[in-house]
Amino acid sequence: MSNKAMEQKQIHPSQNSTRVQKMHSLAVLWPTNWHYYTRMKVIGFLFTLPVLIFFLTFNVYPILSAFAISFTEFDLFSPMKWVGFENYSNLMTNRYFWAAIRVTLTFTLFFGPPAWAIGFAFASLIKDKIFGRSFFRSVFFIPTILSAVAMATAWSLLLRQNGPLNAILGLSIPWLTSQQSALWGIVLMSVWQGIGWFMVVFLAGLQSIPEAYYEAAKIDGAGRWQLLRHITLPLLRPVFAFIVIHTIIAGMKVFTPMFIMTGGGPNNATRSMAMLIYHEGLRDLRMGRASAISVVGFLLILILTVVQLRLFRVHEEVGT
Amino acid sequence: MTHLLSTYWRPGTIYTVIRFFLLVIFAIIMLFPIVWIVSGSLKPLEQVFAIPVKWIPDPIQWHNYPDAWTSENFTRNLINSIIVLVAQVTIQVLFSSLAGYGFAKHNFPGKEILFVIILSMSLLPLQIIMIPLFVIVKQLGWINTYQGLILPIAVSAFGVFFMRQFISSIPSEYIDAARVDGAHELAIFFRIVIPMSRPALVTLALLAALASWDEFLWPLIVISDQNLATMPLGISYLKSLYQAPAHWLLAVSMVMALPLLIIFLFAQQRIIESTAQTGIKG
Repeated sequence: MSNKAMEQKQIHPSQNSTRVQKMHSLAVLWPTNWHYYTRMKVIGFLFTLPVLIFFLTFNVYPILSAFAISFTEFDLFSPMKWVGFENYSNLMTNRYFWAAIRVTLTFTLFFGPPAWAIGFAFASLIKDKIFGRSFFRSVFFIPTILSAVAMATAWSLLLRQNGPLNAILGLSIPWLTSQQSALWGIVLMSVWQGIGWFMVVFLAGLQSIPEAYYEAAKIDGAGRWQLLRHITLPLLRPVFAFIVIHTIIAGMKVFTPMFIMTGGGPNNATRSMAMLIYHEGLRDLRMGRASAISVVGFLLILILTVVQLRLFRVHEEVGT
Repeated sequence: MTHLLSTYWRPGTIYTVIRFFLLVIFAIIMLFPIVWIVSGSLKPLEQVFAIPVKWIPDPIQWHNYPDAWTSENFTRNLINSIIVLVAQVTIQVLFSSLAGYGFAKHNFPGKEILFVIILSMSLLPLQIIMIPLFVIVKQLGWINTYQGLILPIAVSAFGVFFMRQFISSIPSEYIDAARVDGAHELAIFFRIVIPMSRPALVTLALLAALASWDEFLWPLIVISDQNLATMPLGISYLKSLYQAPAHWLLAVSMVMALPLLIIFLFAQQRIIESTAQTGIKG
């Protein structure tokens, strides 16, 4: 086939009016176009193929095998042994599992709302023009951008009983070494690191509210509190939904601060769900039990994903 | 501050002044840990936990940095981190934009479903699939290898989504015109789509670089060979030593954090905007 003929095949008739005139007969038009469309479909698919292979191998397949492994007893070396629902029934009565759930929930509840509130406050403070506005925004965001590993390492020194935090506040709390306070030390660092992210998200939300709404309400005699209660908060509802999902996932993910600052201790007081999966699977080589916990986590993520996809659709309709 | 004071006194002014002072106080609180870390990394060991807190080290001990650096094999860790970062950023940017082009400007059966499947992976954290992923990587014989370190977490659903959104906004006329001229699809991709997506590609590369530099869990899982350890593993190793010297720990934490800070200062606007739009970082 000549080069010229190849070129002609690729031409979409509707995109080239001069050539459309030549294609007067359907008999000539059809096969050429059929080839063109089929080829374009295959090419389009090929563009997405590398990514699809990645996702099948490293995301979809692992999820499926998590389900499979969760019904077995497997230590990586001896062959898998089918045990049915034993891993799951074991979880129900396993106090380490419930302890990890409790740690994860406590972390999420005491990390999320304070970080939202402070992030929201910071966003409100720098929303309007003020001297040094972008400087403050950077300062509040910097902890978020700095390495989680490095900050966890540094904070484990900051939170020492003889460390600077206690010295400045005049306290003597054994932040990371006592069972009662270890989780609070980690929560404190996480809030510090998390504020910037929430601030930026809230700031974008606040700036998307038209100033005219506030002007109109002020003319009607609304006070500061009423503006917040009746304009800002209702209009930020999608942002809140997004932030809640993000926070729940952050709770399920939390690993690095625990691993570095406390190693899950003392006495498992800071062992989160992610950390329990790591311990069960990769330290104690109980892959079956670890996978059962993963499956429980996956089901929760699945619910959140459905909610998130709904939100996405709303976003796209609104056009953001 | 001049414009604050020079404006005549109106009801809003007092509020602005209060707002400004609140911001200053909050900024000091937020910066306190960072200032302590920086100053601690330059102190002699016995001053790190001195009470009252010594904010300015005396003498300033610059050699904490080389001392800490050579106490473990951090040069090796840094090289590994850079290898992983370059590979992951390249893969993420190239594959995401290829797929983004396919999803944005082509039609094929099952496209929507495939896209939703990829999108639904965006919330799935590594923490949930680490066990089966480890098993797969072990079966592939990739434990303690660069490919094991790099590939399984190289492509993110976010990248694909981000590139599809951006490429959708490129007018199809450019692409159609090139097709009419007989351009090959790959040529269209490299000569039209890629150059026109430059802002998105830079943002994606930056976000991928930030994530790769700070990735801790996956290297922890696949790497036990010290020669393949990345920076975060090196730091956690130094931290796990009995009585690791505090000023060294602070120094290596600074080394780990500094590149991120520099990238942030240069590309603030980009990073903050993409965070606001998509909420990836955090």
